[in-house]
Amino acid sequence: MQKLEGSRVKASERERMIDTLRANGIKLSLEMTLITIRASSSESDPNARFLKLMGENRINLPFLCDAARDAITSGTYCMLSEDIPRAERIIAGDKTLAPNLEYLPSVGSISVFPHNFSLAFIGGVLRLMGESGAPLYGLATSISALTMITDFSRLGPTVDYFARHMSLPGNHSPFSPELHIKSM
Amino acid sequence: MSDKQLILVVDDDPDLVESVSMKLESEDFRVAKAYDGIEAMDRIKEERPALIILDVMMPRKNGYELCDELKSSDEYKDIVVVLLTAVADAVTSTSYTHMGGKTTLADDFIPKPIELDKLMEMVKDNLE
Repeated sequence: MQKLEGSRVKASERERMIDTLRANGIKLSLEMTLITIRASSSESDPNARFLKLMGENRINLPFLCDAARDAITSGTYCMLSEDIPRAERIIAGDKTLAPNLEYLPSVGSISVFPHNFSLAFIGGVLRLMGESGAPLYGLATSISALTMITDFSRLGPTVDYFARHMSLPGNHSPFSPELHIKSM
Repeated sequence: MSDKQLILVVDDDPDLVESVSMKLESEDFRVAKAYDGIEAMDRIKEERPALIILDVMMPRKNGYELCDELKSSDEYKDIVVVLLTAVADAVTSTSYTHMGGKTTLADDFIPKPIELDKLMEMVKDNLE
């Protein structure tokens, strides 16, 4: 099997790989906080209570990932950093929920689209993510996009690396949001 | 060249673009995609769609601006424009007054969240 290692990849092979990673767009999020909730399945599910509270209070969760392994359930959520003080006040009112939450401040998401349901594309993007040196805290796919959570401070350098190693349209939309719609 | 009609879907939400595109393809339309008004204008010049499903709130050039541009152009004014609007609760016609009192005249509009079956019905009606 041919071994492909960073700069030793032949130019023609690099061209082929870049061609494989053709995307229509990359989007970056605003600054968010990552919230992880772990619980044993014997407890009343704190993930469900958290989601109910956030829904009732119209706090948006731009990223949501749910997992279960053996008897442990784990939910990973991102919330805009500006919503955190309000969310913390709401969560503090639920004495059994608050101890289950872990916060990782100042994260952001990079979404690459469309993945066209291609595992090769997803693998290629993850390879670039690894090469860029950015940590990966969360990963999810939607119907169109592959979204990765990393440090907010790494979004700029990471998207620069992606843009250099992917084929994007010439007239690409802005990477960062220009519009921010907030539910009141 | 395929005789299937070409629909351009324009929205800055890639998931919405994908879900609408999949539905259109299942209804035997060809689909082009764009993620803001500037990309959309590029696609229009390249491929001249029969109908555009156009989001209103987008970066760089929003849906109102693009709709104005198309409807005031001799070359593109016949392209059917269906606006997607999140503020449709307050909208009762295809004519919108916006930014500095300017009025946009689209051919149709549909509120978000979109009901895909309703959108398909609207697309077919407007292309008849």
